[in-house]
Order: sequence, then structure tokens, then C-alpha cells
Amino acid sequence: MNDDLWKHCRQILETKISAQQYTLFILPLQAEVDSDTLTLYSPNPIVKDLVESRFSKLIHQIIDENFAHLIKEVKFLVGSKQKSQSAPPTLAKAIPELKLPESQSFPSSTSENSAFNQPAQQHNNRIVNRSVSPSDFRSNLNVNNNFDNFIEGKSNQIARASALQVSASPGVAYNPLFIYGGSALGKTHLMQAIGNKILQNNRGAKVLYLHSEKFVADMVKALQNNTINDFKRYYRSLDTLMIDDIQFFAGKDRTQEEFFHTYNTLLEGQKQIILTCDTYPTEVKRLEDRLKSRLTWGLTVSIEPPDLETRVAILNSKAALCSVLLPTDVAFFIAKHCRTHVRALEGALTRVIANATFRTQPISMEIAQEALRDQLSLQSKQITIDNILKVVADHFNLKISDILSQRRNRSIVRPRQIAMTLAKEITEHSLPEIGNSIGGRDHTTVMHAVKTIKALRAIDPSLSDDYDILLRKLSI
Amino acid sequence: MQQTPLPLGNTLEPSCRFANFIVGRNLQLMQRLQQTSPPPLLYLWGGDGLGKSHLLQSICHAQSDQGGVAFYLPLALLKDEDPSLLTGMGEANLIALDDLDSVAGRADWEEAIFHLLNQLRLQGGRGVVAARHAPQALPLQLPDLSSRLQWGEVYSLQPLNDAEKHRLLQDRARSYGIHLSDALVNYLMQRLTREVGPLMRLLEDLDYASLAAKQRVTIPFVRQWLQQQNRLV
Repeated sequence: MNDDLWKHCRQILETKISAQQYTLFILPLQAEVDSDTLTLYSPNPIVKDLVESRFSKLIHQIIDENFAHLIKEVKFLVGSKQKSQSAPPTLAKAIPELKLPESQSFPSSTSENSAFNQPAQQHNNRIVNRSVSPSDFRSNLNVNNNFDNFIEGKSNQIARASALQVSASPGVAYNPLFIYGGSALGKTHLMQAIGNKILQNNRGAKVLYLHSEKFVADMVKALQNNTINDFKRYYRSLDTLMIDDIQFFAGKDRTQEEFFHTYNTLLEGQKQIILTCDTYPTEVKRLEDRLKSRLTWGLTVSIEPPDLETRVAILNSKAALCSVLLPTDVAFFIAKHCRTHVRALEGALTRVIANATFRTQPISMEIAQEALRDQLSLQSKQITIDNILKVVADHFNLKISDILSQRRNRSIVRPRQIAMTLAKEITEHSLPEIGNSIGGRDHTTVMHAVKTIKALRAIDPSLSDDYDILLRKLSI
Repeated sequence: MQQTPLPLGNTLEPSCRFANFIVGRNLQLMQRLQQTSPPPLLYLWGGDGLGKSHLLQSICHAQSDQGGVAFYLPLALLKDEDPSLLTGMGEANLIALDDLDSVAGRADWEEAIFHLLNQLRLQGGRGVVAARHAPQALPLQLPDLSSRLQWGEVYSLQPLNDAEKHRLLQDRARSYGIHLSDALVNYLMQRLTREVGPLMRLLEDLDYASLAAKQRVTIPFVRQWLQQQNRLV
């Protein structure tokens, strides 16, 4: 009864709200009917909060129109209708029939031919069978990740050459290909370039790219839905399996077990396996020894952080993709500040382009410096009153003790007033704090200094220049 | 069964709208936010009282107004929850992660956020992250998360100048039903803090004090109150 009533409500709700809202908020709910009360359990406070505020009225209306004789009250709670509630339910756990994009679904056991040809999606407790042709198969590959735009340098030469060979003879040369290296050095790009090349050579090839987390999630879902055989059949029917960041298999014993068997089956069938990881196979923590040893059966190649010239070449390539003219000095400036990985380079370039667009100016060093102040936290040195005193003293060839002193000759008073004004402008210290830090003075002295410098800047270009130079020094 | 009241999603602060945000020196960011093709990942950083939470909630409001699904997740309040609550949220149109600093160094949260950002990117959703520090300066354990954050478009929020703080203080006071004269605002800002966060807290205290004393907020009243509180330097 519970299921029928709520199932009926859900069917009505599905017609009244967007598919996305239905998937995110309604599907995770578990229903329980106790006498004349319908209790809807949300997997977490976030979903409960949103369901109650957005859909409570609609749910009440549906109940009133259809089940008024049965239900008098609707309650919204966090939790699960199951008796055992030892583990907090998550969205995924609460959505056994979560509607997933095709790329995320694997075939059901009802498939008659190959699992690949007839995937089925469980959705709203209905099995939807739909035939798809091989061309419908989604590999999850980003077509922009290809060999042409993979910038070669000393740091990735061997990896690229190996990848090219694998793409020319999948399943034959270097199986598995294991690419390892730090974050954002191009492992995913290279892996996907292989996949795209294989597809280019053979459009019917069943090539699948996925992140390790997705493999884990699919397996958990298959176990929950009792479709583990479909899961196995699907993954073992692939021509090329590419899994990114397998270090996230660490400690997930059931996943490792399943992957181990999939791995063996694919290798035996001369199907290509490509894996990436942040470290050498035997160094991956909490990975079964038998899996570690198998991962080294093929070819293991590393990608190192790109050198300066390669980083500049990467920037030029990205700039060309965005149809942006990147001056050489700016490319070197960005490359010098983003040493560790490619994503930082891309992020920095994006920010520089955004800054140039905002200012409606071509990219220049000034534009780049301003943008990278945000991106790279070049202004990470905290602006303090002590720092201001040091910079001002250096600029006027004074000692800090001179500025802090009680001396009142103009050559010291002006820098002192400038320091006070800068402190008011670029720090958030209160005026009493500023006065106190600069020679134990009163807040009214600071107010007087600010007023004086403002007036002098309007009539004295030299002082105004000094002030601007100091402001720039302190701000960059 | 836990029932934790959390300021999430629908409980966005109604006043946190772009229209109520004093732009100051953040014009470029504001223009970027209101463009038709905002970046897939936006990262805002800066200290307290710069308006990060206000902006994140404004972005969520704007997304909801357009019929999209947006989650506002204040991590400082959520950090004691199980990070698995993020599972599946990558299906949303927008995820706003506030106070990322509060879970930096927590392996479980870092991994969950990493997977969330990956899923969001795969599904074509947008992410907005706010923290006190730039991505490079965050004490993250997971290099993959750090690199993904650095992939985003990063903006540091610039503090308001004194004139803008003056306006903000008067606007906020008006929302409390208090009239703050220019002279009174100058009095406060010349003698007390100039940081937005403490200024706003001071205003709240002042509101209670004037209600308790049943007096209007004037300079003599404020002077006397500050002296009683030992808050006057």
C-alpha cells in the first residue's frame, strides 16, 4: 500500500516538476504510511529542507485530491523508513533507481544480445528497454583532448610516444598502459587522446573513459539493485577501458576485487586497459598486492611537471584556442609563476583573459599582474602597519625609528603622515590602532594626517607620485 | 533520526541579493557574475566581512530564479556532518561551497568535494567556492582538489572603502529601523573598528541597547553606551 500510494504521487509529481528536480528531490524520498499519516524520509537535512519548502504544498495538494480518505497528515523527516539506521543514508543510497544519463548506466540482465546493444535504465520502478546502436555508445571522451593539442616536452615525451603506439595498436602494444604523475600534468588529456584516436580509427570500438569514483559508484548501485552480473558483463564487453585516478580505489576492497576480475578478463581478450594514478603502481597505498603486481605487467610511464619552455608552449596553445594574442613576456611571466601543473596555467590564463576583456584592452604585463594577484595570491604577504612603515622608510631613506619618533621636521612628518594615510587606505585597522602603532599617537592625529595628505596630493604632483608608487609597491 | 536546522538551499538569506551588494572595487567580478556565460568554476577569496557569503547566496538566488537547482552549502556549519551528504549533488545546476577553509585538511571532506566538482563538471553544472585564502594558500591535503580549484577563475574580494562602509552601515541600520546620521557614522568609524564584520556586530549590539534603554541612537547615547561597555579607546 505504501509503495502504491507514494508511487502514484510520484507519477503525478513527475508531470508537474522538472526532471532534474524530480531526480534530485523526489526520487531520494522514502515513504511510510502509518494509520492516516504519510511520512516522507529524506536522506539528509538538505533534501528535507528543500522538499519541505518547495514541494510540500504540491504534495499536500496531490494527497488531498487523490488520497484524502486515507491520509490526513504528511510529515517530512530526515532518516530512513528501514528499522536499522546505523549508517546515515546518503543521496546515492537512497536512490536505488536514480535516473542516470546513458553514459552512467550499464545494461540490465534483460539484454538479449550483447549487453552493449540493449541498455536499460531503471527509472521510477519501470524498466525502460531501448535499443541503441553502437554509435549511441557514450565513451565520456572529451573530443578536445587529442594528440594534436597535447604539448610535448621533455617531461612527457616517453608517455606521449607510448600513448601513440597504444592508440595505433590497442590491446597489442603495452597492455595495460599505466600513466602516473602528479595532479594536472596531462594524464587525463593523454589517456583521452588515446581513446579519441582509437575511435577515429575504428568508430565501432567500445571505448569507455571514466573516473575511478564512477566505477565504484556503478558497482555500489549494481550491488544495491542486484544487477552485479549486468555490471560485470558491461565492463567486460569493452574494447578499451580507461580509468582515471585509480588511487581512489584505495581501501575499497570489494571494488578492487571486481576490478581485478574485469582486468583479467579484458587482458585475456586482448582488450586495451589504460589507467592513471598519482604514483607508481606498487606505491599506491591500501591496494591489494595481487592488483599492484598486475598493474606493472604492461608499460608504466610517468609524466613530470613541465619545464618553463613547455609551460610557455602550453599557454600559447591555449591562447590560440581562445583566439587571444598572448605577448611572449606575459606568457613567460605566467609560466614562471605557475610551475607545478597545467591547471594552474589554464586558470591563470583564463583570469588574465577575463581581466583584459573587462578592461577592453589587449593582454599586457600590467593586465596579467593585476589578474594574477587574485589567482596566485601574489599579494599573500599580509599588509601590516609594520610593512607599511618599512616600505615608506625605505622609499624616503629614513629609519623606521625616525617615523616613530616625536621629531617634527618636515622631512619626517610628511613620510609619517603618508604612512598613516596608507594605513587607513589599505588596512582595516581602526584610527586609534593606526595612531598607536605609529609612535603612540591619537586618532585625531591620524585624521589630521589623512586630511593633510589629501590636500597636498591635489597641489603637489611630486608627493602625489610618491604616494602612488608606495601604494603600488604595497599592493602588488 | 536527526533533525538539524541548517541554513541551506531554500533558507538562503532573502536579503542576500546582487541588488543589495555594495560593489565597491569588485566591479569586474560583479560584471563577470552577471554575464550570460559565467565560468564553470568560480573561486572567491578574502577575509571576513567582505561579502563572500552574501555573493554566494545571491548567485544561488539568481540560479533558482531562473528555474535551476542550486545548493548553498556553508561548510563551516556542515563540517561535523558526514561528507557523503554531497553524494549525488553534482546533478544540480549550481553548487555554492562556502567556508572551504573549514574542511581543508579533512581527507574525507576533501575527497567528497573533489568528486563533487568532477561530477559537476561532467554534468555541465557550475561551482562557486569561497574561502579565506587563495587556492594555492589553502592547507589542502589532496593535490587533485587543489589543482581543480586553481583551474577555476579566481577573484579576491576587495574591501569596501570608508565611504562604502559608511553607506553599508546606514543601509543595515535602516533595515533595523534605526536612523544613523552621517555624524554618528563618522563618530563610530573614527573611534572604533573599520572592519565590516565587527561594525555590523556593533550595530546589532547598539540596536539592542537602544531598544533596552528606549532611546534613539544619537551621539550622546552612543558615547555613554560605549563608555559603559569600555569599548571606547
